[in-house]
Amino acid sequence: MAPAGPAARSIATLWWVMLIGAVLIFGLVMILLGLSFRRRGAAADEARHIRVWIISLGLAFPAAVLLLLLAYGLVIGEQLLPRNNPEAVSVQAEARRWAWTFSYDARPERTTQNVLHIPAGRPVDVAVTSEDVIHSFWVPRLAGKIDAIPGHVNILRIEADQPGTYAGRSAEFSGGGYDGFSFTVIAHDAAGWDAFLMDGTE
Amino acid sequence: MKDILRIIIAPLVWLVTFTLVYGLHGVLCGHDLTTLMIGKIPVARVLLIAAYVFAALVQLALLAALHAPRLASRYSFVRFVSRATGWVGLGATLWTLFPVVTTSSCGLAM
Repeated sequence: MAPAGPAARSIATLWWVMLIGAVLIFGLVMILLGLSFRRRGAAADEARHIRVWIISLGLAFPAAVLLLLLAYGLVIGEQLLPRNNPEAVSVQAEARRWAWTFSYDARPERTTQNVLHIPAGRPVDVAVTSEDVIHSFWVPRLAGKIDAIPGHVNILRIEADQPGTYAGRSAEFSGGGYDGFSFTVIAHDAAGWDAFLMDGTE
Repeated sequence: MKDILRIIIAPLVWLVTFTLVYGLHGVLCGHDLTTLMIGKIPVARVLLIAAYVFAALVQLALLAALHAPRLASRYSFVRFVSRATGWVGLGATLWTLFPVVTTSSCGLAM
């Protein structure tokens, strides 16, 4: 499940940063918990203890860590949004139980079922909606998830570094046929993308 | 009863302002108002920032009231706890409403 595009890479990095931060904090808290059970010797300086253990380690330290993680998460979130880019390609994804229909701005009359064709190495803005219930569009190796909501269009930017085939899922349970509710993304090289747009077949 | 109010008022007001600011955010998104400009002023952004500042000012006013001798409890424990929850309310307001006024809205890049 290695990331195969910039958005998925950013999300994977965010996940690792969060995990490392959580593990370090958990380890520190466990050490402090262990220390708290140690028998104390001489009478301690109570004011200094409050300053060190409650204010510094109990309040300031977690607040600083959470603030840094929040800021990092917000920056990554901003980076993932679709921004104006002349290279970007626009496609539409419409979900229904239990199939996806994809259409392409570059060739409006063309639609595909359960197979999304994209050019590799170019950002692709997927306008996601649904015609029945809420679904969720997710190509784990290319980007995060986004909900497909009836009567509303959400836009998700995906990008594949290299030509290839990538598995996609609906990440929202939608009833009886959900277990087979998947799709495929085929990323083409430039020539393959041109051929796809010219070709009349799927 | 007044002492309980002193203790919970700041978190309670945070709860209300949090709901109102995110509700405003939802209304702006739902009615496609995030791109509305008056001259060069982005209306939605200004409204959200104004709501954020208002929420912070309300919390500051509460904190000042909780520190004022005239309004403080006669019990030192209640004074300590109510002032602590006052700071919590201010911190929670600044912290949790910060993203909605500084980041992009409705999935659209700023």
